[in-house]
Amino acid sequence: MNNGKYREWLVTSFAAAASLFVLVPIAFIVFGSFKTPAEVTKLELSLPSLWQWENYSIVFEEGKMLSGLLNSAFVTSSTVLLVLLAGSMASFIIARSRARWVAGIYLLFVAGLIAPPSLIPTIKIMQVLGLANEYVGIILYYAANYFPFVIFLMTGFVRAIPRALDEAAFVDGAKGQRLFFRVIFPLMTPILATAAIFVFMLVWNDFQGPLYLLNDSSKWTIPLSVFNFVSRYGTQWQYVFSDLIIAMLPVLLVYLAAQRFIIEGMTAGSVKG
Amino acid sequence: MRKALQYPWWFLIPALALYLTLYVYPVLSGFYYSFTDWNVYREQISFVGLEQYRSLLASNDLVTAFGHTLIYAFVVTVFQNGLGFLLALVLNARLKGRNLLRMIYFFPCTLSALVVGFMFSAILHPDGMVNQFLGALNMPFLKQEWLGDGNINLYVLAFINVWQWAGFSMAIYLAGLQNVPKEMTEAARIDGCSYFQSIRKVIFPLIAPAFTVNVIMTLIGSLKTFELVYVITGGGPGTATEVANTLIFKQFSQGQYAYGTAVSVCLFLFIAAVSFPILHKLRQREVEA
Repeated sequence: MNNGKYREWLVTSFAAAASLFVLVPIAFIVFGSFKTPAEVTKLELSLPSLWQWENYSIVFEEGKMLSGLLNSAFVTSSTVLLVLLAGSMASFIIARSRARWVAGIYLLFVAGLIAPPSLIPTIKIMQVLGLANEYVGIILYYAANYFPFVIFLMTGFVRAIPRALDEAAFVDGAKGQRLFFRVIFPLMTPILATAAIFVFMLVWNDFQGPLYLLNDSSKWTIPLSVFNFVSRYGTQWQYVFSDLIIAMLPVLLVYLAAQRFIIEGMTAGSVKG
Repeated sequence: MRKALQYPWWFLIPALALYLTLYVYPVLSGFYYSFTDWNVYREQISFVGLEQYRSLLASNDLVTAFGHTLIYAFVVTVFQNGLGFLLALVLNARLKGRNLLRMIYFFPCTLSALVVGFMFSAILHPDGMVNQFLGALNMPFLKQEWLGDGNINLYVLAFINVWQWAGFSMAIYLAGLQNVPKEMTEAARIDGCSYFQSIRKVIFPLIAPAFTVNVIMTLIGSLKTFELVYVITGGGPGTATEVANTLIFKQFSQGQYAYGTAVSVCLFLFIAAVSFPILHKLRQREVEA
């Protein structure tokens, strides 16, 4: 008994000590973001001797953070809504149909989990459709990119909802659409939440998409404004670090609020094989 | 007599139409463009056969970039899964502050690769924290130009990727471990299995699906790597850390669209060629287990 306690204590302290590998780099940029130029160039892990809160207001102005944050908020939330709605509708049909061609479409979606997107031809088609350099263009690009993941996640979930429920609804005279929106969609809440969080994070953090698809700096999302800011202020670490903190803060808040959902969601949905 | 249930088939259309236009079509048309001379200077695109592929091979670009991509993917897959599995085992046990620790380890994967990249640019700077630490330990001979030395920086980049994503792998393994009944490991221990034997014989077969998902995800993700490499080294110095996706972007920004698209096509085929056999092998193992 005593032995077990001792081991538990040992393993706990080991795991806690190892977590410093995660925490120290983060602490380093948080502290650095409040330092004076002279202090931050030492690149040491230490508390700032004088907390320079104005670093943040300077960066917020100079880095055009407000524009970046608003653009990211708009692009990300539109993508999440679109992917969740169209994705859940498609998953419902895929999960319920026994037709061969629907199974084929499911495979086509799943193949998108493996195949890398081809960005140069994407620009071409965007130009043809008049979507190049437009918010709508990048939103639709993200949606197309994340359907495979979302549909894979949701189809498994809908399959686990008993068909008897559908039959009861049909007997009651509900049409397919109503069955979905009144019965199935509400039941999907947990998986919708998980999908929403993941898509939010993927889109918010994505840099490759806008790097190819958005030339117009007034439409840049946060990662592009950060990249551009760092290439201008690369050696002024105190500004670089504050910029990075501002960029990661929204995701951090979502993570703290929703972290139970994330790990539990992964446990429930993705790995049941 | 029961009427067949009428599901609204058109529900498939929005997602499918978007996916076909902005994902499938670009990939497929990429195959076509890679056989043309499309670039920024040309009004008219014309068919040139295998020209782009010939110059890819002649210039050595392709071999260099895919060699690096493969090394990177190998290092990431091995270490991220090893570390992720270890973390999952430790954080599946009854510990104080278990949820807090899980949360901390998972956290880095919620960051943008850009943030992680710039953060480590400072930490691994020649005068940065890591080298200062080695100096303080009286081991200055271990100091390195972690990100500037072309002999090691590809591996350093791979380890930064592991730093960011090990917690994600951990979460998937944790999910897998929920399928392992406690009685089974206890029974194995009572039957005289050592701790490591019980992992190998009892736990490992039961978490085979999680292992498959994890390996395939890390492998594909790291073969597609772009942001971390682009932000930290830009593929350099020289071509020391050039990977498939940085090569594609470089060609794109030079206006060599067909050439860049030919690299995309190669990456597509490369990922398929690497991941399908491994997926097949892992699935087989799951069935046998």
